[in-house]
Amino acid sequence: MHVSTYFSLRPSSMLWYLLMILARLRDDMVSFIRLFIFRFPFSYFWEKSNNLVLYIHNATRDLTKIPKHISFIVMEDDVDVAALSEAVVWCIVLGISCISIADKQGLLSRHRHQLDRLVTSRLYELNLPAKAVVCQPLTDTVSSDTSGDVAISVVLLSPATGRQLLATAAVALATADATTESSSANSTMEIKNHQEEISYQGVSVEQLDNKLRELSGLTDADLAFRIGPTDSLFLPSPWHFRLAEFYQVSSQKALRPEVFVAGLRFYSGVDQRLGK
Amino acid sequence: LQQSQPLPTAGPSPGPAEPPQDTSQDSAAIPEDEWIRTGAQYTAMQRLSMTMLGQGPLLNHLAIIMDGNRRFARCHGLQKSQGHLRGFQKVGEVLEWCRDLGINEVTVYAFSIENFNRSAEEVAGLLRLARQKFDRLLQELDRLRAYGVCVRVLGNLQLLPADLRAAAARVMQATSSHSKARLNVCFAYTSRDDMAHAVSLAGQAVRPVRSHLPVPGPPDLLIRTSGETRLSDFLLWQTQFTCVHFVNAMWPDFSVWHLMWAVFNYQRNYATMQSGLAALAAEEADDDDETQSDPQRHQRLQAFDKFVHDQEDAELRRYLAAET
Repeated sequence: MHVSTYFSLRPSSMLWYLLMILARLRDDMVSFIRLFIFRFPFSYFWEKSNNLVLYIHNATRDLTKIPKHISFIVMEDDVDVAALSEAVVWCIVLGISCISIADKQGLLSRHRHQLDRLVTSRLYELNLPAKAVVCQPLTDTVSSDTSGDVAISVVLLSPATGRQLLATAAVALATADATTESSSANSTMEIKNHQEEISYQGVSVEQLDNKLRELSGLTDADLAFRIGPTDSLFLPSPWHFRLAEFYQVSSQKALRPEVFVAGLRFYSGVDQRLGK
Repeated sequence: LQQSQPLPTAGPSPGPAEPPQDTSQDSAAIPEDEWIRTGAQYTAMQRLSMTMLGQGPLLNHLAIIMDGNRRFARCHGLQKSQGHLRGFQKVGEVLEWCRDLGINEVTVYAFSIENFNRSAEEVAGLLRLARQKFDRLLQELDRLRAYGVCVRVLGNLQLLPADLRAAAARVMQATSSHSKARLNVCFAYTSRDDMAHAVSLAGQAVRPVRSHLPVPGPPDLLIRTSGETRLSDFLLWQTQFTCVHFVNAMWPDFSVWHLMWAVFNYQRNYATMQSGLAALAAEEADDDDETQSDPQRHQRLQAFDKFVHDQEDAELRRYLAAET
């Protein structure tokens, strides 16, 4: 970075630190005011568990678009399992069938049983018949239980998992290619030094999409709540976040039903032109 | 359609860099049409802010989704084509700002595969503009050389007409040896198509999927203008711990203050991003160790790397030959 000698160094550094502090104060103040404004009228309504269901249904009655896959991307250093389990429950109340949670260090995998327990007990408390299963792609598979009901899968992701998913899909498709095309002499290239054959039948976007869906149980993310410092982000999966709308939430503590509903409203109002 | 300018780094120097000797052949072109510009005038406040940003962590790679040209045109009562032209002119400006802020690499999303769904007239107009601008870029080769900018056009070039492919290939060949700065123009690009292409090439091995999306590398900061809050199939693989900043202004209204605020937000998040990247690198390093300890596998992967590189060169040569 260019360092100008026109202004001497020290005042610039001090100014930079000052601006960092001011920006942080501003963010904190904004989120505090938002919480305060939102909380006061609604605290009466959602503190009682029955009213949570009512609140969410009422607040989302007029929305034209509801996402099919909601993702929570946690950019903070710690994971607040209680807050995240509550957020999962709101999604289930709304009828969202695909939920994913990702944290930047992959800590959630250690808390999955706790998450599972919290979600299940909250659903029981709210008398909701839905069944949720917390799972990790590549290690678990979601299976329907004996009654034929499909449980809602809550998929845990981390930065490495997303890439691994794609790599696994690549290997799976290539192996499938090799077994079916082994007799085909067309479009194969030999690497002279190592006499290896690599099939150039090619993999299409659709094939990769289907394979990933099979491996992860995930559809494309529609709405992603990014929780943590403003603008920080990682993509839990390089494939599924193509058209996800990102909604900023300042922290896991700030995850409240009204913030969730605000995110849904935001999503509902977006017009995706899809390149046109 | 926007086309990006090369981003030179002139090394540490006070404020905006010294312009190189201007031997550009087309001296009749208006300054707004130039890719590489010099002589931007900054106010005292802007200079102070740039200096201040110089105190924070370095920003190496900036990615931009230049959205909002048509809405800008609508707001100002202009034709869509005028909007796109303004958008291109804005690119030249922004690249100069990036140069002055010391950003080495810029990747821009010029044209998506999805944009082919627009009306035939608009698509034809955009491709025509692209052809003109690539040719213009070649005319500024001296400046590109002076600033050491390597231009790459990324995307599924098979979908483009032969003359445009050849123009892109010419630009890439002419600047392939430059190494001080990089400009990546994503044209007929979607990230999914890019990933599917890499997977097709990789075939069996796991690691090449990661190592065959080297261009562009992971962006430090990604900016999208016009207030949309999605990535629209841009650099999805590469966006690992990136500061993603959404700006409400339309692309032709993007100002140096927007850019500086985005850079500042990147600096604020630097610690968070670095810790995440470190954790990710640690996980992926296990895979690398495995490769290093198996010399045969290592050799195989190296041969594969070379093969892919040769394929790319051959493709460029094919595009150039097809035009004649």
